[in-house]
Amino acid sequence: MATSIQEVMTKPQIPKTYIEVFWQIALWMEDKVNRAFNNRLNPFYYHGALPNFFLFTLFATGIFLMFHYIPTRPRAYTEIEFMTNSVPFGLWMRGVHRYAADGMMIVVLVHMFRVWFTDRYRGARILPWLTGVLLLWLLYIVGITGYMLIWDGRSQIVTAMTLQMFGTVPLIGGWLQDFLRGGDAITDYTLSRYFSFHTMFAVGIFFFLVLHYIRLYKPKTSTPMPLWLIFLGITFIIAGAIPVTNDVPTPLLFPGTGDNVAGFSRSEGTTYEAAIAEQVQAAGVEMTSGNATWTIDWFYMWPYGLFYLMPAGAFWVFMTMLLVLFFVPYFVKTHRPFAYVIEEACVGCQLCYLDCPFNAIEMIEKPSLKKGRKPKLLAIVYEARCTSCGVCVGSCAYEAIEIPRVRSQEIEAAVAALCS
Amino acid sequence: MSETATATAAPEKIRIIGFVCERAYDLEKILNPDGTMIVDPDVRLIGLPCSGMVQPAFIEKALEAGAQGAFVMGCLLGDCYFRDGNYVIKERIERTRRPQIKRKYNLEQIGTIWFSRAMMEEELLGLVASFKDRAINFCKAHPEKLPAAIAAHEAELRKSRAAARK
Repeated sequence: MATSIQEVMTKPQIPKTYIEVFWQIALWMEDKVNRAFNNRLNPFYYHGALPNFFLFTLFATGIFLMFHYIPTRPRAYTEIEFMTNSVPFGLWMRGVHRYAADGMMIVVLVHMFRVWFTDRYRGARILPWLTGVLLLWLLYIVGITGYMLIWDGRSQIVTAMTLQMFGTVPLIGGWLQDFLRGGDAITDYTLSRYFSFHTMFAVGIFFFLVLHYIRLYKPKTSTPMPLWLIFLGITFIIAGAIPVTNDVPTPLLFPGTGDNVAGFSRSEGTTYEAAIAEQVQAAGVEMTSGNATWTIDWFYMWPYGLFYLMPAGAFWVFMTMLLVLFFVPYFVKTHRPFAYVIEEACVGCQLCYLDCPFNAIEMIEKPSLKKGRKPKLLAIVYEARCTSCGVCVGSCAYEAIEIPRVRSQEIEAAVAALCS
Repeated sequence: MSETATATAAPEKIRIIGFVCERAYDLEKILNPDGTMIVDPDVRLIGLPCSGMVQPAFIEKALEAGAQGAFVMGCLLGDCYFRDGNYVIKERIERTRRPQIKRKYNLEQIGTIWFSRAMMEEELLGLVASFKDRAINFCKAHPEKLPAAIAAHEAELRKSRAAARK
């Protein structure tokens, strides 16, 4: 039991759980980067702005790619080949789009882990976390449908595996397959559906980003120029060094129209790549363009590797467990104290409203004034948004806003006592 | 041997007050329960949830109460747990954000330390010690600029003006 103001104030209010260990790991990494560079250019301090940067890059290059895309078979493949080889900047736009997608997934995961490890996702800060997990899944869907749009051999294998995967879901498996295929067979509706998912969820990402930012005052959405130049430069260099090519040309594994899905089965003892190559050979397709090996983008194709390795039931149990990400904020008990305004003392200067990092303070007309008096402003606190940080207390010269933990007068009394 | 009492006599007690964000460093490692630092009892710390909670009035009260220096310690710039509390107090001290430190208080007696829990304790103690030296040297070199001297000077001015009006 604390017996003095000093004890109350010096007792740390950080939960001593796994969070402390994770926090030390994150801080240790950032400390090394700070010493090597500068804390104004530390990419870990822009862990939210970097995904934003990659998103804009993907959007800009995506518009170019969309102008040159025709969602039918086989024109999807041929038009992409044409754009890559013959349209000015086509190769670069395609390469930057593809590698920026990987870059986006990397920085989003760094962002998620950093927010988690430095304990900034609980209590009043839960909305960015929940929308963030949703955004992660939207990003995943946009990424994987992007691969399917090309309609090369890899897309077709991925389509076959996805349909097979959905088919193993009890009760609604058949309906899910029809939903993905746009019917009961693979037709041009399938590509159209992928195209819709790809663009629709990309728009959805922008919408949920608004909710992701809405509880933050002046969110950092852009990085300093040296940082984004470096990341853009890295993306361009990789796009030039490892040009993106289609994997296997037409004829397709699903020739003609109205064909059903070819089941994808593996024989014992084969690797994933060998099984795919076997399947391609069995379909009588010759690999004539690009490299003969399959490039597997593990950032977006990891569920297929898992589905290949484990039984369907276990696979779906694992994927359902990933939903637990939404509940991470509830793993630690969070107290939710909030600031309160002393109405008589508030003069309506708006400094707390401008300083609050979480948009938890708004100004309203003072309701207690007598009629006929000139309207004055009063600060009010949105309790659900308040993290009890005390920045508003620091901004108030009139001691009109306080947090429950300790009041301004108690701090001043402690100062006087410590100076004596 | 009589000496004229000069204002440059060494202060009797040394007090450095620190307003410290509890996330910037693990305070239990460096503090006694009464708020004095283990390695240097002249330095007394008050733990707060965020460095942005510091009102300029707290720093001013510390200096008025006779402290030679007052500093604010927070997370590294760019890494405030509550996003921008450390930027906010930095600007209040630099007098670019209201409420600001009043002009009559000397910035040499006010310090900021930006720190991280992953950094070494020796580095922190070194930063605190160098701020303490800076503040004490300023007090010795410019006693006329200290709040007590200014208050005494203003009281004399008021007296002489009152006398002149009579």
